Amino acid sequence: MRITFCVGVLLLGLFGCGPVFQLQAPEAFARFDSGDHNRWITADGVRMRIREIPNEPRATLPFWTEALSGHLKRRGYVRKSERCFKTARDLDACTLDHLLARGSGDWVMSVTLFVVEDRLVLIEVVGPWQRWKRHEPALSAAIAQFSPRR
Amino acid sequence: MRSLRIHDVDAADAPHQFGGVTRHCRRALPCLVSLSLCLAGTASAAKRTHAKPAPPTTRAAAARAGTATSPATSATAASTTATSVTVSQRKTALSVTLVLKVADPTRAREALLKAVRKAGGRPSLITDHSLHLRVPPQRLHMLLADLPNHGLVMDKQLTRRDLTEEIARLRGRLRSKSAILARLRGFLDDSSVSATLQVERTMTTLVHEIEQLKGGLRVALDQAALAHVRLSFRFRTPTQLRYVRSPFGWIDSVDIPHFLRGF
Repeated sequence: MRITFCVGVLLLGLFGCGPVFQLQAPEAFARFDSGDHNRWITADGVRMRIREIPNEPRATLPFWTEALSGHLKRRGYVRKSERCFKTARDLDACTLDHLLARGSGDWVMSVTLFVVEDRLVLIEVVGPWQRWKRHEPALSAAIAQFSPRR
Repeated sequence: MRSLRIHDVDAADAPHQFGGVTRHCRRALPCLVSLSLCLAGTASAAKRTHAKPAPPTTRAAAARAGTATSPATSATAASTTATSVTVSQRKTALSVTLVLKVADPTRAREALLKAVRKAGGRPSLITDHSLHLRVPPQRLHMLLADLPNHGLVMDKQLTRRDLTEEIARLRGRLRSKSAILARLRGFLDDSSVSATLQVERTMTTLVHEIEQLKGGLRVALDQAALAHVRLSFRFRTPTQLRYVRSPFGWIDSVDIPHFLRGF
């Protein structure tokens, strides 16, 4: 009885605390080992982060896309593009790319949104525009293969 | 109703119905035949007279090269050559309007001017906010590909206008007006005073028109020879972020400074 309970707890721990997603980051990105494992960085300083947020209030992908886009615009960001697509696992996603003049150059804030039932999964990529542009095709390809755990 | 054919007519009815025609035909037929024979003979004779033999040099050259071809083949080749010449001689005016967002316009302008001179072009207008450039069309693509190295291309519009017809029309009008002017000069020698004055008036008008045509032709040829690039600079000034609160807490955290602080 005890053994079954322990195995059950162990299995719950294994599946419950495992990675919340599957992402094959582009080769140019190195993963941080400390703390959470959802952060990557390139040699030239383009950063990527994945995080989960409760889908509260429960809403759809177009709702959150519009809310985020509107907020960034009001903040002073310039919208570069908005692209909605289906991943290889048939999951709906939208990528919003916004520009911000920072220092002597433009910076990009690229956010890809997934709505997975009661969670929102965000892939945020930030970096100077010129450098981000070099990694953008590889990033798009990786995000198209992204699979959040249901 | 049955359609009537010659074979359907009875032999007995034939003289009655077609007798007159038959008689006339009988007389006219030999005349027609002889006339057609005469015409055919004249035509063939005319063909023989007008057909010029190919220049001996051409024939000899063809024989030397061993490329004696049939008339049909040579005609096709000639038409193909004519077509390719026409296509290659098309004149187009290329025009590009660009907005370039740069951090340092002075430095970007100097770098662009250097690139344009290297490409065989020249500036036609230089101001603090804009740059008008003339570039050989064949180098335009190279220059446009180089632009992202100088700044962020915000807007790009490319227009192409075919000037072939306009140039041909201007040339034709110029030729005809010049011919009229030359003919009018001849009238000046043997004419009365009033006629001379009238001829001179007409010639003045013609000279004015010819100069206008020459100007138009010069402009069209210049447009075809060099593409026009109009470049406007936008200054890249740091954006002042406004602190706006979203009703959804997590959206406030989607922000570059916030991201960099927490990374």
